[in-house]
Amino acid sequence: MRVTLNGTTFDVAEGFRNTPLLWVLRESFRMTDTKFGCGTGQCGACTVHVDGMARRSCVLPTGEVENKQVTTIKGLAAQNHPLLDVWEKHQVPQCGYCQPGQIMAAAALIAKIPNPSSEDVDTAMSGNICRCGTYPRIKRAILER
Amino acid sequence: MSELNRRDFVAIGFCASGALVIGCKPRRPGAGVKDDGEPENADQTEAGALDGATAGTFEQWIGIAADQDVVSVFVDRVEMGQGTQTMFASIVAEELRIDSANFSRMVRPVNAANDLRFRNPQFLLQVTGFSSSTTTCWGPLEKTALFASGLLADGPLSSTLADGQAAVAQAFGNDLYNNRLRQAAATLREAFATVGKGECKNLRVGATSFKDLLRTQRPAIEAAFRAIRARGATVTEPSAQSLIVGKNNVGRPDIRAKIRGEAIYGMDAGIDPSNPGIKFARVRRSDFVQGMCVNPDEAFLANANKDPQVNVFAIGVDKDKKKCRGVAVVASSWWQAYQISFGLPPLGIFAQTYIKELDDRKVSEDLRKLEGSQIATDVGQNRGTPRTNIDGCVTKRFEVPFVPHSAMEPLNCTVKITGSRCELWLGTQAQEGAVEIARQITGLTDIVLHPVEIGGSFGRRLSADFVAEAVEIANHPSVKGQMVKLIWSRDDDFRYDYYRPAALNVITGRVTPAGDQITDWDHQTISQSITTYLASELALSIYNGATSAAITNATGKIFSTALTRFVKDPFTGEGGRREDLAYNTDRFRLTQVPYRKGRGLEQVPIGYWRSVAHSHTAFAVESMIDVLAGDKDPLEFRMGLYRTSQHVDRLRCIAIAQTLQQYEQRVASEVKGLTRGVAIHRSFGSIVGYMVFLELLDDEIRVRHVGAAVDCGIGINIDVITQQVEGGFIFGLSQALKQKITFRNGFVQEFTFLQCDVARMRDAPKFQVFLMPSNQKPSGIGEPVVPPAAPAIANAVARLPGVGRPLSLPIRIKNGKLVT
Repeated sequence: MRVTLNGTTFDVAEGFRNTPLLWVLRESFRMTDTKFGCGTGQCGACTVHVDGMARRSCVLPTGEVENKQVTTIKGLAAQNHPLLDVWEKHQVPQCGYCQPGQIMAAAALIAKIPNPSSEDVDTAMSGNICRCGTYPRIKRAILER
Repeated sequence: MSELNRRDFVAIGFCASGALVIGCKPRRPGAGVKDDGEPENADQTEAGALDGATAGTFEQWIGIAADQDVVSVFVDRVEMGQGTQTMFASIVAEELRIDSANFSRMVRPVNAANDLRFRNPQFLLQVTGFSSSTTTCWGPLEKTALFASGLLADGPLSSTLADGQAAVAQAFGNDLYNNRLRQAAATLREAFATVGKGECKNLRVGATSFKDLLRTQRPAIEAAFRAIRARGATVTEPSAQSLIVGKNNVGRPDIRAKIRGEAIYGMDAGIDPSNPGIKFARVRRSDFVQGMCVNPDEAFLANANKDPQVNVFAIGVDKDKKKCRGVAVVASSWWQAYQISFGLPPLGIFAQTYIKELDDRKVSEDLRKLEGSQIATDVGQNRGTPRTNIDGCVTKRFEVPFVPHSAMEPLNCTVKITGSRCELWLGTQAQEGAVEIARQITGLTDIVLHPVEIGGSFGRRLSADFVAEAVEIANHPSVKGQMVKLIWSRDDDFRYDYYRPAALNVITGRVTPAGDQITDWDHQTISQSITTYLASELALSIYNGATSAAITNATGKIFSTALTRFVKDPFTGEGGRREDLAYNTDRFRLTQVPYRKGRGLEQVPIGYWRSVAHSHTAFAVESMIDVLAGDKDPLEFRMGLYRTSQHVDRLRCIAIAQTLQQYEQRVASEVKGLTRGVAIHRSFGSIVGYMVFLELLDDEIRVRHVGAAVDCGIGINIDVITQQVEGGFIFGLSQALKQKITFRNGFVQEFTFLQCDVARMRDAPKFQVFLMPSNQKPSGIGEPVVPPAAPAIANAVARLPGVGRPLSLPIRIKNGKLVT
């Protein structure tokens, strides 16, 4: 099956159809920018874009992204996505482990709602856990960019 | 400027690359530091055994390498998100007069957390925790950097060596400076010999005296410093005007890579297209807390897996080969290993009756039975025993449950054993324990620890159970020689944690009618002793066989230090000690019920959790202060108690309370209709006060605004401190409103975030953070920001109409009433 990852199209073996996309990214493509946090879609650390929509790659069978565009945080960085600079300006990360997932969720939000309200941020971002508690800065980065 | 310790010295040398390295060796081996950063009255720590054990090692090498045109700062504490690297680099930059505009391109923190010659002077071990990093390194780093600054002062050394020396002498005092030179010369050879590995290989030691060294190496020193100056280091007389310290615009150097997905965490180490041979492992363990499994026979293992590329074997097997820790599955993909381990037939269970019956409700009963226990040990008493049955006495019982650490990066450890070398890629707070474990299991002496980024820890990575598993797996004959990455699933992380122990705090208090003095304060804190648990055989019984010995030795090495240094576990009563309370209290007693064998509760695996006992004693103490305030304004009430107090920190506390009052005026219009709660707590040498404003919406507590006033001494890096305040409050909010681990029949009932959630975006309040001006030495920040969060929230909840006072955590409300 064909999968486009950060703009480049690859052939992925059929055997991976039922494997969660996260493990195909990390172990087949050896790309570690997408993080494993819970494996059950409850923390958001593994968030990627599939055709621009934020998806939890740890519970997303790779077969579902066949012929679709998958974007990871490195893809976003390669596009010089403005959120990355905003994130740095607001000094958002602490341990940083959840941040690729946070940024992917935020990027999907502002693609859909360019000027989100505080409540929009609460709704869109409450699926992403940050144990260090960087939420106030994440919100500031999204609202004050 | 802190006074130079007579035993300190500065050493100076060169790396193979020609970089100048300046280091500082603080105090004598074995000297401790109290939680306020002062050197401990060290008679009890100056044990011959400790001196002997550390003789010949370079206790602490915090250095600056003027390598080309950047200043490298070796940071021996791990970065877990708490900003240590930035803090260290900030101190050095300040002393080298590098301003914030040049900070990021000139100052490069170098992760030296793998170098076991560094030791945290508070614990005599290489360990990161207990909010001790800035506290313990401020002095040595400042002195090291200042010394370099003296060399830098006023032009090239060739013409102004004397001036440079004079600048240093001025800062340190002439006698001390001369003394320092003599010591430096005498110990250079030793210092260089111990810096003979890694980054500082082949140091050139041609000097017999410090002066000779400067003469022979002067061109190199000059070149190094010329390069630094050319890049913008302003070499001026030290002025009152700070360039870095206390500034808000000094960015964290680790952030850029983290944002771009380029940072390599332990989870990521070795996953690289150029390393196709890496293997992944998961361990299936007993379903019971601390239970052992029946050692599976050959048939079980053979049936478990038919894939020749996959290895399945037992680990932690006891010497009789009857029991084991669990079954490891090693495959070329973790997803595959996880699936196979998940699908294994049930493992036979070895669990003693007390484990099979373990129930957190019974633990709670046990804690209550221990109330008033005759075995209690007084840990603080002053001016007579507090009275508990006279008019005006109020007694409250505050209870907290077991809580998990739940760092975002699940535990993992990557190991490769080839020939006589064992390499570990590992995020840990306790490097020496990890190395000792690897040594014990493999029998090798060449253990290499590769530092990695750490995706949160909060105390969990002080324990090395997962390291032992990983080393044992990589040492198994079927996979030896290959790189193996052990990854815990999230449910493993919940079920096999070392939880913050459940605790009961019983406080009886009485206050004068005027409310300016607490006449009686009787506090019992009843909980397991974490230190005793971790050093006990109970903790070790998790493992059997060879690994058991390794854990015994390594854990013992880590924790026996604490045990031998203190008669009592210092962590069990902290937060409730007289020195922790800045209030005017007359008759005072803190009682901690010590660890007891033979009851059920000590069987639960427990560990250090961000702020340790402060996490529950502060909830009790600060809730109780509000109870005693009665109808009085709780902030005014606190100020009254501070004003009449003799406590050394009473003025700092008053300033914090006043700052919170100003915050309240400032946000008055925004917080209309919200309910206010306040708590102020002193821990790790710092004082943190929170004022929260919250509301109740559909039985959900929503904290909307938080004012934070923080006194952590000199604020090294304002933004890092602010980050810690925001995040630490939210960490405390998770404890106050969300987290709880329960046990039924020996099983952990919560093993997903759905069952044991943490604060999320919608729970996060708006913050205003105020850093109190200070000229005191820096004190901790990573932990002091957690304890006052829960009582501030509880104190606000208690003032919601008709809800009632929260006496247990997490606070849950149903139909407008507390769920108890």
